[in-house]
Amino acid sequence: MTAVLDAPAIRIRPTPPQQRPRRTWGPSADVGIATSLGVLAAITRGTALGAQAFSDDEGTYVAQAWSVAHHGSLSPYTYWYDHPPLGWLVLSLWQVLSSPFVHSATAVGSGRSLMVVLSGIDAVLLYVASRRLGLSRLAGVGAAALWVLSPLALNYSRMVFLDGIALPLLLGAFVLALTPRRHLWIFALSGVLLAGAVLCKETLLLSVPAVVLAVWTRSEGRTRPYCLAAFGGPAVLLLGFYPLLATLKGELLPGADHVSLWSALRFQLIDRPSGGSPLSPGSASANQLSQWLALDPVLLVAGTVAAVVALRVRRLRPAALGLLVPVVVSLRPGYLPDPFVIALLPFCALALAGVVDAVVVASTRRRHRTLVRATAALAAALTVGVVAAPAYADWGPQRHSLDSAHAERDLVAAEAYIGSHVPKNQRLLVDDSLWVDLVEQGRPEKDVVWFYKTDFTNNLDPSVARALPDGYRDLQWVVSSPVLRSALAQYPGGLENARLAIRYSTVVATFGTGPTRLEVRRLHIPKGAPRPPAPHR
Amino acid sequence: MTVTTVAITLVALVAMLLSALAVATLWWQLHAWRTPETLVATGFGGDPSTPSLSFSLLVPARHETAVLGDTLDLLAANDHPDFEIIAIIGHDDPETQAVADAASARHPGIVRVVIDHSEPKNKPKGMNTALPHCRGDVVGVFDAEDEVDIRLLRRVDAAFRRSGADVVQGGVQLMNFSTSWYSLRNCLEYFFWFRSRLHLHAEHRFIPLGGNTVFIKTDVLREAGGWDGECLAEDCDLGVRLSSTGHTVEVCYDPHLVTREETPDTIRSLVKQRTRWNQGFLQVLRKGQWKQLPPRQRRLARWTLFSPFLQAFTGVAAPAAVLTALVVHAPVPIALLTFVPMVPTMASLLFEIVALREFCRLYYVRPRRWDYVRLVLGTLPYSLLLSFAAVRAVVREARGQRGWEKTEHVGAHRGVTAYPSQPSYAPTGATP
Repeated sequence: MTAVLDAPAIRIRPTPPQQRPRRTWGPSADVGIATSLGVLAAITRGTALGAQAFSDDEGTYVAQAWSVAHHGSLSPYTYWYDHPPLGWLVLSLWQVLSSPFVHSATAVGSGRSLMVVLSGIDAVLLYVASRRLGLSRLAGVGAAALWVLSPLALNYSRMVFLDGIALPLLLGAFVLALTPRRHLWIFALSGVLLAGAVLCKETLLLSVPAVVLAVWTRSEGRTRPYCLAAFGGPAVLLLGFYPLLATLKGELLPGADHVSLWSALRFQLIDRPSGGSPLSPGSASANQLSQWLALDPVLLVAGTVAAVVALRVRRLRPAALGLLVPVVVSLRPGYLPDPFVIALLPFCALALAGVVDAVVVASTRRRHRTLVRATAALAAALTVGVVAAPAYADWGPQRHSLDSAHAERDLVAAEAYIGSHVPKNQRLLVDDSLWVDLVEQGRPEKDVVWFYKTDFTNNLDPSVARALPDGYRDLQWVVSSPVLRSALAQYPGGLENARLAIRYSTVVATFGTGPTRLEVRRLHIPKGAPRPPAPHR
Repeated sequence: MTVTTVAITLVALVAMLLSALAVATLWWQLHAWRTPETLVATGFGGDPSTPSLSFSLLVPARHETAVLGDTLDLLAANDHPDFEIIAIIGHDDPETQAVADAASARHPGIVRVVIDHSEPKNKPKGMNTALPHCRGDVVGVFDAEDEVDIRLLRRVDAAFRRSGADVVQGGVQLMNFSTSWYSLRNCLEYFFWFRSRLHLHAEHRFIPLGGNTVFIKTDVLREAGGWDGECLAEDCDLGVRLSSTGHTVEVCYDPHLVTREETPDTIRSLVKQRTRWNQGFLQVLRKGQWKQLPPRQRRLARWTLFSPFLQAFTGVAAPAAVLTALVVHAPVPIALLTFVPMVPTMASLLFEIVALREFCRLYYVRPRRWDYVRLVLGTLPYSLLLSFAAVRAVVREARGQRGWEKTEHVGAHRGVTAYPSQPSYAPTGATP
């Protein structure tokens, strides 16, 4: 009887040697390396911060954050569940806390200062994740360097996108899920961070499988069910706060005269015009992809091929999944958002550096067959990346350019001109990047109108239609920006009010030259000008 | 500062407090599963093949004719080479005495009978009567209806030698989880308490001991003056006193070696039992021996002795806050805040589901889907029950009603029915 009991009742499965990080987070060398990488990332992002063109979305999120801080509301217009609000709640907190220290000429510019800090954190977390995946120090530095130096990552991690705010939360969740200590509460914290990431940007749901796999492989035996509960319980419950918010506001389901979460989801998933598959040439999604590849032809493609190889290496599988799930989902026809690439790039870097590391490990162990296969796969990946991607990149117009004119300088000049030439009681139609700055000039919020909100065909905000019963005829000024012009080009049948405002206005002042110029235009509406399109729901 | 701002601040504070309490409770409850290494460390350890201690096992019994004979036979069959069993019988209880005498005749030299003449009778007084008769190095306590594994003593012996502790607390487990909706939750409470929470108490060196399957070095026990005959939670009190005087406790749990018990057979007796424990905790709190502890342990003592009340309070307050916010149509931010404490509260329900699954695996029973449904549906009613018992304990203590309310058992844990329902000393301690 006792013989049975002499054997330990519970056995711990030893971590397989290849899965065990060779050295975990802690030794001072790793701290030094990670800090340097973080500083390097922050410097690369912080340099020439305002030179890069502003995206309309950046202005939207900055304005929504401003609205939280100044009015306690989630948007200057009706919040219509475009995205879960955590991202701009964080941004709003940053605006309040950083205002004494960060002085930027524009609101979007000061929003970008947050992204500099977050990028530093991203780089640190990327290095720690690589170490916890079992990569050598050198490979870890390689992974982080790929991300820090990639022009594509550089371009997007500077911009005030919700995906960028969510990224450190996602990487944090991933790093915690890879805990070598396998502590129950570390997994719980990982779940909380993951929920935070998804509450910043809903598309990061596609990154969830990677973190789940990490939790599954790291936790073990008898404690695994508890670890999964600790990870999943808080995560799911916190995610529930988004529909809960809608329910409490009475906006879960569609109804007369109010927005709803349901309609917003319907719009994003079903009604939004599909961009086709990125693989069908000429489609909007393919254009989007080519814009990404124009910035960096290697990281995205080689990373994806490396991720397929990494599926064969047990310890790298979570990182591979972090890339492949979103990639596979985005290949089917649908709307491919511009910032979608943000959450993919760190996993590209991890997969690529991880496979190189695995090849080196295999070679030192003299496993020739594995070595040959892995080297061949890697060479194939690099060849595909270097040869195919630039060709693909030529397909579409190249909107983003790192060496464009100084976007912020032109914006500041235009805003100054408006401040001294446009009376405070006259109404302007603008893109989102000017909104906060013009309101802070002392203009009533209703007199600074986002051009996108005047598109009554897909407008989900009834308050704008009420404020502008006469459409574009209620405006006195319009600022024509690259964002406005590209939106008009993108939606030929839509944005009728903005289109008419441009047609019946003349340029009063121009800032910058070429396609990035800003024009301040004054409306002159002749008799017999067409009626504005009727708002309809 | 508008009224709304003040209200939001106030609700936020309450929500944070409730959440913090719920998270702290979870932290304690889930200790054993913190890391795989922690789980392994909750076992007995040591080498059971070379026992070197001698044991005196106390079995206080009052009106327990139905179960006592079997209990003593099972105890006497233990595979340890050196132990004695002392059955403690009231002088006014000849029927039980006859059962004990018969067992003594069956196991000469192992089972002895000690007659307790104290008035009014209770468990600690009975054990104090028997203490001078103990000849072993270690005194162990069992209740009359306990089902004790015959391999237990060797493991306890080994744990004493391995750890050098003064006290070893073994596991106690209620088994009849499918008898009723509350028995399921009651079983899980014991599971979390002995499987997990007590280990953390031992680690932090402040521990309320359980009422049975507890082993204390005889000289330490005599030095401490035995049990407090007036305290309703004499086991908790002893643990607190031993902790205060720097004695160490080792808690060991092996699912194969737990002492098996049954839940109270009616809601009424469950409430009475819980009231007695809570009142006992209050008495220990008032006695104030824990105040001699160093500051860190003192805070832990306050938290431990209050926790049955806090747990009962949060279980009811969290849903009540949500309900209030919805009924009065509170502004959206306030209503959202009231939902925050529901996150740890609901998470603990999830952990209970996981624990029920593990419980069933450990004890080779098959959970039915209905058991999980009952577990979820029983959450709020059980919290209400606990809250009621907590309030009742405070009221009784304030009124000076300090009599023993006895727990009845019918032997449901043995899979045997038709035991006559007799009042007895409860498994008083074992205080989840």
